[in-house]
Amino acid sequence: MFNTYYPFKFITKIKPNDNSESFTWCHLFRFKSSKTNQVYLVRFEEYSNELVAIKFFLKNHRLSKARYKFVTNTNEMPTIIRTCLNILATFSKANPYSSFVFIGERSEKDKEKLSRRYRIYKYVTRNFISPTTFEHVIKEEYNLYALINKNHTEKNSILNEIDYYYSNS
Amino acid sequence: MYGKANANLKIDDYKDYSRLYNHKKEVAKMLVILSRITSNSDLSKTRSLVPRFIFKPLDELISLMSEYKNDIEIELDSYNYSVLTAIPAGFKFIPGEVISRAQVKGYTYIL
Repeated sequence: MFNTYYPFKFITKIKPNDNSESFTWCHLFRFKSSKTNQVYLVRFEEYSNELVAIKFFLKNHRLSKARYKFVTNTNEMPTIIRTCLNILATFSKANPYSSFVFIGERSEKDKEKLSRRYRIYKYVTRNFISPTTFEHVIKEEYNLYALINKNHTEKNSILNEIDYYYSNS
Repeated sequence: MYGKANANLKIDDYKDYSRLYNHKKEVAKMLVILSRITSNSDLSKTRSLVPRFIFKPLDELISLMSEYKNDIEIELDSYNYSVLTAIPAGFKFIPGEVISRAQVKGYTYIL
């Protein structure tokens, strides 16, 4: 189910625009769906303690504030998520001390406590990312899944940072 | 364990035991596949000796559990796929069987 993926490209590194963006750098990747011909953008936003937040959305939705909430109905969720995981793997090899965090954003139809996206991300991450490399931390109150790098010495700082960012967002 | 109801799945929760007899043959076939996969050393390495497999349909896994409930651990996810997370060392390889219906898929860690 999650065995197919699209080739991806690194585009650029972006500095934060203004004070509203708190990341230090954003690494931007792109890939194109051969099924729908739609382009997806994947943002790896780097925070202190080498914590990286992963976000992806359709390029067409890039100007919308609700770009992470849209349901595309293209029926290629496994391929998209697997491609993002492959980007994560490539990024992690280049940045061996990075930890990762992502949120399963709620769509409008989500009524359960845990969002549909969160449940899928959790399932996929457990199956593809080894617990020997990363400690898997879940914070269901934020629908958040974090992969804390076991090579990083400041584990508690990373967890505090996650709490700080997401309790204030 | 994790799943729709966040509850531990027990075979006693399934009252309809009659269907287990119908699936016995399929279960035997699945055990053969299982033993083949677990004897694959590459997969064992990549999965840190705890391989996971996905089974569908669910009925077959329930049957499997009934016969081997003391030997294997089962996780159910939210999407009607069933993930077998731990396989006992004592599984025997039975040669000569062919799987026709059961779909078995093993993922490997990418990191």
